[in-house]
Amino acid sequence: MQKGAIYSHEPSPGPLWNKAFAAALLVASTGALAILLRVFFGLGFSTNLNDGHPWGLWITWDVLVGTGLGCGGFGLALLVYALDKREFSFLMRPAILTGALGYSFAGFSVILDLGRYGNVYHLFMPSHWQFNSVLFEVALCIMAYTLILWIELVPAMLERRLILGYRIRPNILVRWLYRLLFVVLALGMLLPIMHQSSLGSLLIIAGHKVHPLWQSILFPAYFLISAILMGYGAVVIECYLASSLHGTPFEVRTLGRLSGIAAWLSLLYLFVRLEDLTFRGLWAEALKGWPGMLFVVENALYVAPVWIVANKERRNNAGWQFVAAILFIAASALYRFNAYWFAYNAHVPWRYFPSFLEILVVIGLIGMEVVLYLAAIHFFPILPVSRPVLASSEK
Amino acid sequence: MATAKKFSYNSDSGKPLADLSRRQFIKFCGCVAAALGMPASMAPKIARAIEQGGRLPVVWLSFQGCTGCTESLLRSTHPTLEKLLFELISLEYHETLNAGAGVQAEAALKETLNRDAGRFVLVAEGAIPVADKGVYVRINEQAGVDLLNEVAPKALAVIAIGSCASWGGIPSAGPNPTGAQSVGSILEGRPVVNIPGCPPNPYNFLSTVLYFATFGKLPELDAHNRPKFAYGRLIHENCERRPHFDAGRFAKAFGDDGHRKGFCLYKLGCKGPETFANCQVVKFGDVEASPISIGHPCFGCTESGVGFKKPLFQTADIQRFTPPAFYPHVLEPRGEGATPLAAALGGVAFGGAIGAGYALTNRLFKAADGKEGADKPKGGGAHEDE
Repeated sequence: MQKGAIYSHEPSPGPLWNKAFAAALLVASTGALAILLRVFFGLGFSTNLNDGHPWGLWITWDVLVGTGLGCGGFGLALLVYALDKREFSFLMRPAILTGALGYSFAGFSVILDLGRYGNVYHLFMPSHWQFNSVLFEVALCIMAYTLILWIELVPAMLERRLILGYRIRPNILVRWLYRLLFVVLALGMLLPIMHQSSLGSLLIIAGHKVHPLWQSILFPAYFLISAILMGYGAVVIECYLASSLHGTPFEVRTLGRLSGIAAWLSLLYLFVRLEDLTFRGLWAEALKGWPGMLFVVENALYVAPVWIVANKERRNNAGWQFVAAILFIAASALYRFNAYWFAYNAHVPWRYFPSFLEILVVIGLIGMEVVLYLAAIHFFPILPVSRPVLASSEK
Repeated sequence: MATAKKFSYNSDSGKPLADLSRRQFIKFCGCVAAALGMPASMAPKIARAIEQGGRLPVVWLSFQGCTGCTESLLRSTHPTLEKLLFELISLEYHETLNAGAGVQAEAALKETLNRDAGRFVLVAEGAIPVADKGVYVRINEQAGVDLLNEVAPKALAVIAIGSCASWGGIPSAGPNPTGAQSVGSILEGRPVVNIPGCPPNPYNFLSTVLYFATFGKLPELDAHNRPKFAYGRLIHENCERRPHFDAGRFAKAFGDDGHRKGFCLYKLGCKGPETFANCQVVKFGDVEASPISIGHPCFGCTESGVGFKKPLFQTADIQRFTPPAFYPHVLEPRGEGATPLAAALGGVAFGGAIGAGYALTNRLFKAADGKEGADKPKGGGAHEDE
C-alpha cells in the first residue's frame, strides 16, 4: 500500500481558530505574563534557583527535553540523507518545524535563565568567545543549528506562493539557497551530533555532583542516542496528528519500521548503559533508595517500547505505535531530568523545587509553541498527506 | 667536583669550601626554579650551571639606604646566607659583610675590578644622592655617584636591589633634599634590573642572579625593568584575602570585628590592587608571612609613586579588578522545598499531559480496531505530549 501512495504536503484544513488554538493562546498569554514578571523582577523573585541548583526546570525542560523533541529532523536526516532510506522523507517537514520551534524556544528560555540576560549579545561577538568551554560549544552549535533548521524550512514556506495576499516569487537568492541546500543538510546532521553529545559532556565536568549511576564518561553517547529516540517519538506523534487532521490513512507500515529502528537504538542504549554499570561495579547501587528507583523506572521506560515493538502485530498497530512513541520520549526525558536535576546534588543541604512562576513559564512556552505550530501548519504546507494511487494493485 | 654524599665547590683559588649536602643543594635549585615560574626540570640545569660555571662574582655597593635589603638577604634560610655567599655566588665586596675593613676592603674591591672586569655582577643597594655633587654619600673619600659610575661600566650586569635603588625609595620622598635618584637613572643607557621592595624578597634577588648564571641572559623584564616572574602580577591577584574583597567583606578599622576575622584590608588603605609583586606567592622569612597576612595593609613598596608617596591609609586606585556591583550573601539561601501552589500547578500540568496522552492513545486504538485510518479522530492540540 505504501508503494502506491503519493505524498504531498498541504496546509491543514479547517479554520485556524478552533478550541485547541484558543486554549493554547490562553495558556501562552498567561505564560507571557509570567515571563514579564521574570524579566522585570529578576531570577530571585521568580525562581527557586540557588547556588546549589543554578539550573532548574527551564534548562531541563526547555533545553534538554525541548531540543530532544526537536531532534526528529536530525534523526530522520540521518536515515534519509545518510542511509538513503527515502521512504521516511515525507516525515521531514513537520519534524523540522518541531525542531525549529523547539530549538528557538530553548534559546529563548536560556536567555530567561541568564541572570543578566542583557549581556546575551556577547554570544554573537567573536571577541568575547572562549573556545575552551563546553558550554560555549553548546551555545554556538545550538545557535547555528537553529538557523539551519529555519533555512531548511524555507522551501516549505516558499511553496505557498501567496502569503497574506502578497505574491512570493523565488528570486535568485532563493535559487542559490536551493543549490547550496546540501551544505545546510550536511550541517543539519553534524551540528546536533556535536551539541547533543556536548550536553552530556557538560555533566562530565560536574563530576561527583552527579550521582554515580548517571555520572559516566559515556554521557555524550547517552545524550546523543536519547535525543534521536525522542526525535523519532515526536515524529510518530506528529505523523498521527497529520493523518487525523487531514483524514488520511495512518502511515502504519512506515511508522512501524521507524519504531523498529528506534527499538534497536534503544537496545543499543540499554546494552551500553548496563554494560557501563557492570564495568564500574555499580549494580548494588542501582537498587538503593531514591536514585535507584529513578534508575529502574528510567530503564524500564526504555525496555517497555522495545517489548511493544518486538511483536509484529503490535508494531503495526496505530495505538501501540503511539504508546511506544510516548514511552521513547518519556524514557529519554526522564533520563535527562535525572541526569540534570533529580540525580544532581551539589551538596546535601541544597534543595530545589521549581517555583509557581517557573512552572507557569514552562507551560506558557509550551502554549506558545503550540500556537506557532498550529499557525505554521495552517499557513504552510508542512504536514504530509498521502493519496493512495490505483497502481497499488501490483502488490 | 661532586662527591657521593657531600657537595663542594672550588673557589677561584681551587680550595674546597664548606659543604652543602647534595639533597640541600638540589632542593635550593628547585626553589629557585619555582620562584622563577619554571618547571621542576629546570632545577638540574641550574645545579649544573652552578657546579660547572664556577661561582658568579658579585660586587655589592651600598648607598643611601638602611641596609634592610642586606638584612633581608641575611634571613634567607634555604640555603642559609653563608652557604649562599660562599658556595653559590662569590661575594667579593660588600660593605656590611666584608671580613676586612678600611684599606683592606678597598683593596679587595680594586682587585676584583681588575681581575673580574666584565665578568662580575654589580648589585647596588640604596638611592644615589646627586645634589651638591653627591656629597651625601661618601665612601673612601669618593662620592657615591662617582663610585657607581666607576664600577658599573666594568660590570657584566647591574642589579638595583630594594626600592631606593630601583626608584628612589624613602630618600627620594619629598622634599628630597639630597637629590636621591635611582640607580637606573644614573646609569642611563645601561640595562639595570630592578628588584624593588622594602625590603625585597631575597628569593626574587637570588632567582634573578641564578637565572643569569644559568642562561647567560637576564630574565624577561617589565616596563619598569622588574623581572616579570616576580613582578608580573598584582598582589591583589594572588591575595589570600581576595575572596573577602570579591564578597564585599572589609575590615574598617584596626582591631574591629572584620579585621579580627581576616577580612580584606582594602578600606584600610591596602595598596595590593595597584602594586605589582609576588609577596602573596613567595612569602617572607620562611614563615609564610607577608604584611597582608599579619593584618597590615600593603603599602605599595615595589611601586614607584605608591610606596612612600601615597598616604598609608588612602585607598588604592583599583587596577584591573574592580569590585562587583552586587555582593553575594555571606550565607547563601539553600533553597526551599515545593510550595503548595507550585506543586499543585506542576501536578495539574503533569496529570494533564498524562491524561491527554491516554485519551489520544485510546482514540488511536479505537481507530486501529475499526479500520486502518478509516476513522477520523478529530485531532488538535497537544502535539507535545509528555
